[in-house]
Amino acid sequence: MARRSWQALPLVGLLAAGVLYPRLLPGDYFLHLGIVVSLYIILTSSLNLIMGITGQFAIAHAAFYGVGAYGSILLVTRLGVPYWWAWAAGILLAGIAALIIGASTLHLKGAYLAICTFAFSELFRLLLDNWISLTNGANGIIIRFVPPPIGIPGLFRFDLGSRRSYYYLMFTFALVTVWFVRRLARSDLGRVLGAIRQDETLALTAGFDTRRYKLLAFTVGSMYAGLAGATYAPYLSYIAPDLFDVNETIYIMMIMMIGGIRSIWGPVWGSILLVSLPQALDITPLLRMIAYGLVLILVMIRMPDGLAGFLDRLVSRLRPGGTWFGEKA
Amino acid sequence: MNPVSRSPIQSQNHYIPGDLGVLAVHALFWIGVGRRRIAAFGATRGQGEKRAQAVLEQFGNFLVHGLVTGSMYAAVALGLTLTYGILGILNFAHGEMLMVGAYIAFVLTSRLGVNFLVAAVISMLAVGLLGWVIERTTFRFARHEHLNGLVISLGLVAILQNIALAIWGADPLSIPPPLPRTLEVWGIRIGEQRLLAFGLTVGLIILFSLFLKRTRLGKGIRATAQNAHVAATLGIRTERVVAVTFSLAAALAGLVGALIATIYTITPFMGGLPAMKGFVVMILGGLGSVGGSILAGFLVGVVESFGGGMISSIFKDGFGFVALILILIFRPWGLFGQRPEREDV
Repeated sequence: MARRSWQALPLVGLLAAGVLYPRLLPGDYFLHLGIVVSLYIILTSSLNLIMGITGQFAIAHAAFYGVGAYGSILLVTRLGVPYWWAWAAGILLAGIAALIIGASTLHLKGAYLAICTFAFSELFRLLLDNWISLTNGANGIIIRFVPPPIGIPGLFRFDLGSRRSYYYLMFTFALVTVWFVRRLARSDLGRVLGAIRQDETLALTAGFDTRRYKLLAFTVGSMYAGLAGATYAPYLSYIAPDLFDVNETIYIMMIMMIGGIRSIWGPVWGSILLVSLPQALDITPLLRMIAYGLVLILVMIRMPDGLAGFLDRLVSRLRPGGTWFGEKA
Repeated sequence: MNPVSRSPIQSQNHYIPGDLGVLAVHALFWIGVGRRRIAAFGATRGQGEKRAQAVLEQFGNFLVHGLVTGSMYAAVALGLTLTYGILGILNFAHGEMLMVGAYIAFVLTSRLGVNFLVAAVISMLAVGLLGWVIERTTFRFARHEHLNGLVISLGLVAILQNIALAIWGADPLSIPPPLPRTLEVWGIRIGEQRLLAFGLTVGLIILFSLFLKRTRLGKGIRATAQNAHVAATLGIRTERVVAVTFSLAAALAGLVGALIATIYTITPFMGGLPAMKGFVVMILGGLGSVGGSILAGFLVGVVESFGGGMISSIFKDGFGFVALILILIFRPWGLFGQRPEREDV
């Protein structure tokens, strides 16, 4: 099994890149970009599990991201729960919400599922906007606390007062998410999820309770979105309903598609490109958005498999059969 | 985890008790809110007959205004359902067609002094042409790849919104309504402009459905939507049909945009909400069902009008979503959609 030892290489590469990044590009600005890229890697990878691997066209991801953020922050500010407990509770709440919404929508197909989950997502935003006594409505909540340090004594410690520590924390979660989705996609369970995407009726006749598998993928993916929200909110120090509306879901979807749907590494490429592209285009905001739109259209027309698929084709020219960059689930 | 836990095959389309629980919670919530509002509503009015009359008038107002809004939803959803049927794409840029139509009508009437009806027709034609160009240059390359098409439509949204922003700025503009008076019949008050918009939209919807049912091209469109390969084998030029359909859907949106511009304000971002409503209506009516889209459009308009008037005005936009969720629980293929035999949407 000499090949097997090579399989970890891309993950090690990502780890090395993440650790070296703050050294190569120092400064708060680049740390901030790194944190945002890590956030979107978590959100996109987990959406990739739901939409790419399992093939469920559900557009409510930002709502679960919001449940994680609002859930944990409200527990801290309203009930005085210690942050890391509230953090875990936020993830759990996202999972519970996903179970309920998934159970009532996952029997739908394609566009029906998309628009029904969209309806749930908008209802969530309306709830945040209008339950003013709890959420302070559209004005949002300003977060005034710094999460207490966390870590394993003697091994490592994230002291979240500094931006650098926050970057390492977010990056660790991003790495864990990519690792998890990759691991899942290659497992027996992942193969069942892939079968559901390709032909649900066939998977059903093969004896798999497809509803339960779909619900499982949906819940786990949504819990990662909750994790992203619960972790990112104190860094952002401000949450508002608009941050978790359907436009955010669409943005996450866009990153997934540009990076390459179903590819394990697509979310990484997509997040890096779409977060840094608007920063790199040093022109007026108007022109920047127009250029952004053109890039989206061109990438989708010229590279239907996204960046990951494109890089894959480049690699396979140099090394036939090589799929380090694209690595399909 | 053990991937081979088995279960009876027939479990697929049966609803687990969780659905009913969700339904019950929704129902209880809305009944509770609604009862309080109706009680408060009655208390502000006089007693007896006068009160009954006031309630009736109020109902009439809700109904009429709901139908007017509903006609717009129906027209938007009609365009979306045609695009989806032919291209297999959820076109998020459909709302931007509305926006472009509104701006063209604005320039023609306010800057060049053209008669409003003429301006509306011109913006319809212009947006139809724009739709043609867009289909030929972008969507052509992503047919029936719904996620790729969706991202392309998002790119178009960014481009069109920002071009409009560059030309006209972010300040809301408006077209002075050509018919500024308000009518009052049996206590129902409605602006003449809204009635005109309603009449034009309904007329166009009827014309459009007749076109789809009766004409050669209309039949070609429906055949291509059902099965493009078979349609091509039978001699229909599907390539052209696709472009024509997209352009027709855009033209419809352009006209609705011009009409909306006389009622609401024009901004570069005005297309977002109607497009979202259009999607909800399209799904509620059932994919591929033209009649379903039209009926569902009126239904959502009326539900929102009553919900917004009697239960909660800030939650107005939510009632359409609640209706959608409830109906999809019982009819996963929409009100008038085809019940799928095989699910490869």
